Amino acid sequence: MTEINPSDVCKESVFQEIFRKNAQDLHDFLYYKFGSENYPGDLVQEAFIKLWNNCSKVPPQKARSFLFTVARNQMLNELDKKKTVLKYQKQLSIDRDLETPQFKLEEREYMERLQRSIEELSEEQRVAFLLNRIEGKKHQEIADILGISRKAVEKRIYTALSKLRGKLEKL
Amino acid sequence: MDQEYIKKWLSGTLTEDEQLEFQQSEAYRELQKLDQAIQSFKAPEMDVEKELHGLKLKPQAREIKANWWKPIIRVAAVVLIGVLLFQYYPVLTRKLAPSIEVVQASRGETRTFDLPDASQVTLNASSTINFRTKNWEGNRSLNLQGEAYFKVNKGATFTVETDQGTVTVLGTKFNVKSRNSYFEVVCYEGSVQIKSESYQEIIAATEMFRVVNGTLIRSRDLEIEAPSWVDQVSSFISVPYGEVLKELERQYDVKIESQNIDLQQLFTGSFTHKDVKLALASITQPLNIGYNIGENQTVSLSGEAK
Repeated sequence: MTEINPSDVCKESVFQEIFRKNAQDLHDFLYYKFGSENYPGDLVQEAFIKLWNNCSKVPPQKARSFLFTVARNQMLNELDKKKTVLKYQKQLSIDRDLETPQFKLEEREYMERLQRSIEELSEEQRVAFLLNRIEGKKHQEIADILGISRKAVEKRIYTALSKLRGKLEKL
Repeated sequence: MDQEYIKKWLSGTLTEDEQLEFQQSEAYRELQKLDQAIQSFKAPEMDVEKELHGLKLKPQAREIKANWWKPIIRVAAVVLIGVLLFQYYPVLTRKLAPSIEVVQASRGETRTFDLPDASQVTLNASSTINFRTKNWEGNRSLNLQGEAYFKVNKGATFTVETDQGTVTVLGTKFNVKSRNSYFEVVCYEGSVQIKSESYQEIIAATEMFRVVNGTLIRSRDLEIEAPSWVDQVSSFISVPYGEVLKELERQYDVKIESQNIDLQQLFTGSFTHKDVKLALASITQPLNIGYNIGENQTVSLSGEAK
């Protein structure tokens, strides 16, 4: 976006471009924060509708941080809020057929334990950790998304990793 | 030891040697396994285009916000047009208005006005002048019906056109009277050229030229400096009596009915414009004519029965 006209976000083409650039990231963030049961897709839509309704006040280069600020502030009604659930997909590995039944059993137990452990992490630790390990976001990027310092991001990721390791060791 | 390496591994700041060393450790294999397993928890891909089309955006909110400047421009345009109209109103009216100006004096009144070059014209009762205001200085020409006294400033040729002839001067004072079959020009200063289909004359100051019913009359040595009607007195020298009565009708806006009166007899004399009774007395008594002022501005004159 080369133009810096403050009302540009109100242009449909500019708005669509912002949507395409940010929707997936925003969705990932909301998914790791609230889990699949709390409709992260709807929360993404809400954030973009808010951007649209404020399009004249938000310059295009500020749109991304506006969207994440809105997403961060989305407080779910405690009564409606469902437990954060993250689903995992079956790993597709070529070697799987050669594995022994016992290995498979251990593998499944490991995954289930990992799922529970991730779900038990605090919201803050989980979001930072998964954005880093799964989405490959750099520490600084995560700091921007969460509106916190880079140091804090590093700490959250490390703490999350330590917790997971601690829980998995007991296997 | 492990903790340091794990931190560095997380932030990707392990040196090559450290990397090699770390890869030998038990902790590394465990982390590798964990890291690989975690990939299964990746957030599902979002169908961005579908979500984009599913967005329910209020179009009118965008309309108002995107076009906030439109009403301002509308108002500005109206204001601008207003200012321009105001600014150029005199120019516009001069250009749009017909370039012919008409000045009229109705019955019973005289009227004095200036032409664009400051030449002065006095219109006698029931007379009309029209002229082109455009390029007046280059073409001083006007059309006269009735009687008028001109004081013309020096300049280009000055022409007075009437139904009975054209009067041309270069800058002088003169009176032109053009009424039906009565045509009279009196020159008070300089000289005047009079031209029509049937005659062409030049008269000098103190001279008079008159055509009554096709008869030309010239007289000289008039001892007056301006027509007397300008001073509210109508004077006549050997004028047919009918013409005198018509002049009185014009000056007082009355209707005269005459009985047993010879309208062709010549009259020399004058009447005032200020008092109708006095005026009537001064034109009737010398001829032994009786008058009676009736209703509706009507005056009856009756001569002696023969």
